[in-house]
Amino acid sequence: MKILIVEDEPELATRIHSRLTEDGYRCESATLYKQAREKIYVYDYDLLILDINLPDGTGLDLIRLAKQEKSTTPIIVISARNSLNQKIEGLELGADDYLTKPFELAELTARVKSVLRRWSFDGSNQITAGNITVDPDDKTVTVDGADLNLTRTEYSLLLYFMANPNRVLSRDSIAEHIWGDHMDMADTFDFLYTHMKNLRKKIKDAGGTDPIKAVYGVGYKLVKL
Amino acid sequence: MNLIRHTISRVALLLIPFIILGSVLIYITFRYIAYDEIDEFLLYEMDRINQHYALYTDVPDVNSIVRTYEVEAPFEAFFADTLLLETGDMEMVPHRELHFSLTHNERHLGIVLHHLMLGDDDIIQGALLLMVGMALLVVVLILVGVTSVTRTVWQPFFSTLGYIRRYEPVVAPDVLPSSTITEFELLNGTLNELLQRLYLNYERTKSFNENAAHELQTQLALIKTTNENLLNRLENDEEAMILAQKSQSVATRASHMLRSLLLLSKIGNREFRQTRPVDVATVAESILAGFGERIAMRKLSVEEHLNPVTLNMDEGLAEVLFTNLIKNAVVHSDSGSVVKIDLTSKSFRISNTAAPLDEDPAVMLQRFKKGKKGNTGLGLSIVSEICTLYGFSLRYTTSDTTHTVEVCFDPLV
Repeated sequence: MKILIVEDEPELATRIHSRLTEDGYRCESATLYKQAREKIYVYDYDLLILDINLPDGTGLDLIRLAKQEKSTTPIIVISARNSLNQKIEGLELGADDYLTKPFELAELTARVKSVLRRWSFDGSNQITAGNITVDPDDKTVTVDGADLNLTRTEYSLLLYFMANPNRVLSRDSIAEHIWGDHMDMADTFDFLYTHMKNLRKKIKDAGGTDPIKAVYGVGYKLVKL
Repeated sequence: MNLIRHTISRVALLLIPFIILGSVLIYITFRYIAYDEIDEFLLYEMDRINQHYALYTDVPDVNSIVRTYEVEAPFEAFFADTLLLETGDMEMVPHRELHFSLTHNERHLGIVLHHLMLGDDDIIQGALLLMVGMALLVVVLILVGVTSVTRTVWQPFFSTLGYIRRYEPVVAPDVLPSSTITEFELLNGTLNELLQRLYLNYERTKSFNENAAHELQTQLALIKTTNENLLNRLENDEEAMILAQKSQSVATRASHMLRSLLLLSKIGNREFRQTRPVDVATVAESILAGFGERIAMRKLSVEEHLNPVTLNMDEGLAEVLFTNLIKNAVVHSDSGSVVKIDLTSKSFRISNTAAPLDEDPAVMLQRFKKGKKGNTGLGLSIVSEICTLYGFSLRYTTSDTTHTVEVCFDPLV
């Protein structure tokens, strides 16, 4: 899988590049509109990650260009502007997802995997960790082939961990993934703790090996064997 | 009341003392002229009688002689005013008298000439009629003259007024034209400068909002990704991991606060100009559904009465407004209590039960006024700014443990 990262802040582009490379993707970066335009013209990518604000142009024009050139390439927009209109414009132009800065790499990774799964028409999209299998197409979870009934939040949590195996996910990161802008509410971490406890209990009760480990004072980690 | 009508009304008021003073002056003038003319006539008659006597040594038969009488010595002629009975209409009428003496055959005769005078009431009546007539003529002249002249002379002013009323600083302003009239030239020149400054201020603030969002959020993204990397590299150092997690929390809070502040700045800069009809009940339902899990976990019950209401506003701001109101009630409600929501064509009212406030509820609408639960203190100030933008009125009232926030769509309610 080949991904083009268009981000004008070189350090941030490097971080995204490193993280996605660690996850097995081949990545290229562009920090300017012109560089990105040339790359989109010349090469084929499986995914574009585009920043809207570029010093010499706008990422919205790159979406238009990409959709003209290769209409099937999925696109994730990243922007610092938390504007509903811009989000709508980006999605209407054909972007598949919209991520507002500052995002966490774990969140970006989850979105990348989600978008690529949606655009993958060959083979199964199932994700496994130990004896747990998640099918994002049907939104079902099985433990050793037996259905595991999860609430929407528990399912989202499990999928987030599955997208970021063997990585420590902070409480803030998990809460922001689940509740977005409302994660600043007072009892967020209490709710998170309750949901995590319920999720892990359900996995254990179904005979599964709980792959999620608590990291004291920080958050949780899914250990993929 | 427009400027011209106001000016004419004020001028018309000024005419009242003008009429009174003018009437007094005309009365004095008329009276003076009347006396002067009658006195001159009577003196002429006296001269005529004296000349006649010098030629013929007898007194001529003159109608104006009312009586003669004998005196002991000749005297200087003098005038006197008197009232005589007018037998025709039995009315006392003012007359002017001239008394002079004539010596005939060593006898001294006093002769009295008289002449009918204009009465004071007649003079006053005349003076008033004249002044009122003049004033009416002046008012008519002002009404017709000023109104017709205004259309042409004040045209540049009204044109400027129309332009600045329509002007929105999202586009560069047109240059208001020069005028040969000094005041209009000064006005348009000053407004040209002000409008340009207004436009530049709008552009600068807009640009600042965009750049601040981009630059600062990008740097915060760097901090967050650094913390993430640290968390994964310091796995064997528990203390260092906790520090990295704390740093991550601060960066997240800073990002949320920055986003709220930039939203406040954008609302204040009037950057949300695209309005469309927003179905408030649908928006509120959707927000409530989003908070469903929280509501259930906190064992809150929601009593909602949502009537269909459509407001013309920015869709994003509508969502922010009602989300903040509902979120505020859900966050601060006592566990197991009731949240009441009433939406009518006049207002959106949300009440919840929580600990009583220690201070005036209105203070909670101020920026950075934090509650006891560690929130940013910007949610309700954003609500307040949105209400100001759309002319809604916002009320936060408390009664013991009941907290009510009401947004009135019709500010007169």
